Amino acid sequence: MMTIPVGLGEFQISDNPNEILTIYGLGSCVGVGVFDPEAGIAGLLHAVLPESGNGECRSAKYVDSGIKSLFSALEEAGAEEKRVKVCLVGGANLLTAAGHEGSFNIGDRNIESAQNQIAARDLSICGEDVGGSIGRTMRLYVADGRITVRSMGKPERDLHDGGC
Amino acid sequence: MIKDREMMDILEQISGKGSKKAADGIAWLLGEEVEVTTPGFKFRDFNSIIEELGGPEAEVVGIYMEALDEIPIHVMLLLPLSEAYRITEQLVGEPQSTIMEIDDLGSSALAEMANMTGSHFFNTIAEYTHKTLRPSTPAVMIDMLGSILTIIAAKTGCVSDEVFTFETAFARENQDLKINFRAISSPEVMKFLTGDDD
Repeated sequence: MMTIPVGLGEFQISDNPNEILTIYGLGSCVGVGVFDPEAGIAGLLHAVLPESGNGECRSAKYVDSGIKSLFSALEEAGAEEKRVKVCLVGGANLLTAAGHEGSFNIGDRNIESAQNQIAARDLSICGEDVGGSIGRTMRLYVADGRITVRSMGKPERDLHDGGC
Repeated sequence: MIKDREMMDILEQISGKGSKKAADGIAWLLGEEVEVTTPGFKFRDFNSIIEELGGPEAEVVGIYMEALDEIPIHVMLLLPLSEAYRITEQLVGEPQSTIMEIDDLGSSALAEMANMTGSHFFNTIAEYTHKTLRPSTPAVMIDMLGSILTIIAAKTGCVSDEVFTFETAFARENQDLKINFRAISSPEVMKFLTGDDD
């Protein structure tokens, strides 16, 4: 199996069943995993900020424009939006120390933005592991759409098995 | 790329003097010599910073501070977990190799170390720029490097775009491991550092 890392502000798509799309160390960022089981195509977005503030922006740095870009790329590759399964991971707030609490709720805003974008497409979210104050590594197995999550000091666990 | 010679001189002086003062602060706390290694500054993208420091899944202690007021700059002190345990033992006066997790006391001790480091660095910037940099309280986090450093990515709004960094590491006497220091800001910080904001 080959790991395809998805860096900050990037997305990757794949139809190679030997690949695992992976976001390492998600903090306040949100990972949006999308899988079309019929076409066998998967996509994973690693967005950092909730809104681009510009409807035309296609940057994967932002949740709203990133989701648009991800879905466009998936469709170009042969996926159909009505068939896809969507999962969200991340949106944590690690800055919980005294003097910082409440000052930076970017994780919550990222989650909300992603949920709104998915709902606006009339899609439901099949699995979520969001919020809290811990970092996560998210893996999307292209072979079957399985999504796993791992936190520091804990084993990798299944979030979603590819079906809804 | 910084081409102006005068600007380079200012940045070199802030980098060199700020790093030295920060190291002196740690040395005073630890009661031992602390060496500054490779102080420098550059423009770079966030993913490369994370890779250079061990990759996004590396388990680390990160201590974050930001400058409030006039110059938006963020400081992160990063230690491998094992190094954080050994430094905590030294700071709180516990025997060697007895600490295997960071409790509240250890967290306070590490926060104080970051306070010394960050404040000294901010003071150096203030000295050269005649600006006010009021340090925030330090926030100690134990997690994956990617999760911790992206706090700054989100705060600066710079991700694939480049950020400006002052970079150095502090090496303790006869120790292999280093404490990494990064002061990171969006590229707009240059106008404050070089006096072009007036």
